[in-house]
Amino acid sequence: MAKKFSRKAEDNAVPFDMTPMIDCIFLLLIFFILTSKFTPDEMAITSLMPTDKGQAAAPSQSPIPKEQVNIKIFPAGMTKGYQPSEYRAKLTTMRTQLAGKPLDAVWIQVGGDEPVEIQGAVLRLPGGEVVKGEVEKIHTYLRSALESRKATDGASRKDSQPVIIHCFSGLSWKYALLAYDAVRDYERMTSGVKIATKAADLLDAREVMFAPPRVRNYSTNEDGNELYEIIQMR
Amino acid sequence: MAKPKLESTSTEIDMTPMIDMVFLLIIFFILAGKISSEQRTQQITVPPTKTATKLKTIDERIVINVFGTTKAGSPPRNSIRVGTQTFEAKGIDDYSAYARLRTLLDRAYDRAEKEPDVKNPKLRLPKVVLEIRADADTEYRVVQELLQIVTDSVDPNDLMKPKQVAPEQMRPFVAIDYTTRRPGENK
Repeated sequence: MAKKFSRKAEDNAVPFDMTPMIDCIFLLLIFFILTSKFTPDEMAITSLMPTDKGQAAAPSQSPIPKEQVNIKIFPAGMTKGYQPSEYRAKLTTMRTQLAGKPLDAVWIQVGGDEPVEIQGAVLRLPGGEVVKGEVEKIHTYLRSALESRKATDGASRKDSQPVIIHCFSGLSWKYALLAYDAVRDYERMTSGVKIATKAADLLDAREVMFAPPRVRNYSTNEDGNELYEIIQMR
Repeated sequence: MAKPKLESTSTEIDMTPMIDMVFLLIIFFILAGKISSEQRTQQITVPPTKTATKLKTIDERIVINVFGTTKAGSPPRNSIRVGTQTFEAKGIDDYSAYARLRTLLDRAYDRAEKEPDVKNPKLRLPKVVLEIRADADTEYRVVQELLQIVTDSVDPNDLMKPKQVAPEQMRPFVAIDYTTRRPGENK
């Protein structure tokens, strides 16, 4: 008797109605599918800041030693041989013509080599062959420049000449990053190391650095001085 | 005889595996949604590069968003956003925004797990990746200053002069990721 009774109770308990719960869960699922945004097309370039250089020095006035590769990035058309005030005047004219838009024609130059002109407007396009072509232009230029400055003795990557990127601070960030990208790519091709995906991969890599700021007192418009310093560099 | 038996079994579907799957999907979307939208604003178009690698979301990271000019209605060019906090300089030589950012980084440094540096054992480096997610048209000087701030080498409260402290007291972040995209991919 008792056995029969208990079995009856069990039978009643098992088929409970799951429909409302499933309704709710599906509603939640749809909500999360719709609201979550993915950014899978974003990637990263890993870098490691040097820790053995001590505190960042103030912008030095001393001549830059020869044994480093200087990549200079500045507005197109700015040639050597002017005074800071003249560079300032040129910049002001350029800026008035652009009316607040970023400077788009840019020269990239290594040491005293012939500069290469980059169109910033092209790099702003969403993607495709034109963008690839412009990126490739920077890569090709820097590849040959670095190749011609290659150390002849068998120095390890770590001990080879550091590469310093000097970008005029009023330009867009993308040029400096592209230069960094090109040097890393050259290093990968010549030394056969894989692309760094974490900071530890870079401990034995050649040093590639963004130069610290040269002038800071922007309110007094020292950008002419900065441009002068960058363009004069070897 | 066999027919009615078959019918009775087919009406009772076992929903347990389906519910399992649906729960799994919900959990996935909750987590994945958080990762992507919490720290990354949609108003930034990052620059294209060739050697970029996939973003790793496993390690602990702080994303520093810097705005550019690419999208209408976005915060002003060169303003910085970390999480929900926005840092915007009031003038060209106003460094208070950097000072506030440094305070935030100091707190993150104190919280983080640390290890001694290989080259300079007195320095203790946090096991945190800082991701600089700057718009392609951010002014370069902002990124330049940011790199000085995150490595703790300048003092924003003292006109960005080099910081003079013992290595034990420095709070540098050295593992930096620059967010970028492949030139061939649409965005």
